[in-house]
Amino acid sequence: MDTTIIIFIILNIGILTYILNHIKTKKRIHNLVEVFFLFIYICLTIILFFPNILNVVEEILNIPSALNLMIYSSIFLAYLFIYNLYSKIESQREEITKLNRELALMSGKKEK
Amino acid sequence: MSKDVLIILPAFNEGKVISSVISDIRKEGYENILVVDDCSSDNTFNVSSSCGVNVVKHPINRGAGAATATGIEYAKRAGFERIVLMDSDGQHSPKDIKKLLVELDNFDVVIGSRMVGDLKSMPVQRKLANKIGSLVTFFFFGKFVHDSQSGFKAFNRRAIDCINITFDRYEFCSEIIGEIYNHSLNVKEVPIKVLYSKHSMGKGHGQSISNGFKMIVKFLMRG
Repeated sequence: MDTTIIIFIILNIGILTYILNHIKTKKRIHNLVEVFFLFIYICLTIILFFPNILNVVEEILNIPSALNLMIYSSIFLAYLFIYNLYSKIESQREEITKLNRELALMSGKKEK
Repeated sequence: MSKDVLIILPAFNEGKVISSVISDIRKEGYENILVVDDCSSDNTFNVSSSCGVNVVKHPINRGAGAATATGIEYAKRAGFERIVLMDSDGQHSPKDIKKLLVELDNFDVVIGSRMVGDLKSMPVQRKLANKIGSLVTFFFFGKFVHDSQSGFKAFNRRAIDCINITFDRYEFCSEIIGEIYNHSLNVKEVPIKVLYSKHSMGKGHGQSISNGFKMIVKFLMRG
């Protein structure tokens, strides 16, 4: 077997083990989100080792290039994630400022 | 004490000059003064308190916009009819407060403008930063004023109730102009005297061109 493929297989096993362990022990992120990311990762790994599977996708969807579709979809999803993150950060920033303001107005002239 | 006029001084590390600023304002006959300490690391809070003025302190530093909004909220809750926002670094002359208040009888917002009077004493980089700031403000908020970045402003009760500041840092200056446009407030610019000192021109004080670029990015992100 090609050395590169062996290295890829070892890396994949390592990464998958890490992700599964993270889901099992940390539970910081909602399980559905973890499963979603795991699903994407598994799909990408399958495509990496079996690129011909894209031909099947092209036949089913009747499109010229499944790889292009994947890339453009990834960019679109990445944009959505970034916007979602930005929106949450902005919302939290405003909450922190409001809280800061209320604390300041409540405490008044106390520090000495 | 009369609830007519409140002078609001947002302050960050102005311990060296704040007492003289307060004293100069008092000499002009204004007793209702509020210092909003944006979590200074020096003795701004204690010096302001010892001057006998109202002081509120942010537990964490949030920026000039946040401090100004806190001051406005204080005025709203205390029932003040008019407010004057001033820089606390001694850049603004308290003698100009009367100029702003006189116009407030006929306008909702009066801006003390550095760009409509004598510009000889203004440093070149500040002139450039202000001009760019006013153009950017016009581009994003649809209203042109000569000095959109001026920290010397007076609001009447209508403006106090309408204007909502959401930007924490210096972008709030442009946001105020946007609020004036959105709420169809009447605005007037009056020329003011600006006192540039080593302290007020020092690092960390006031607007700069780099702040201007950050402002543009924030306006683009907000959309």
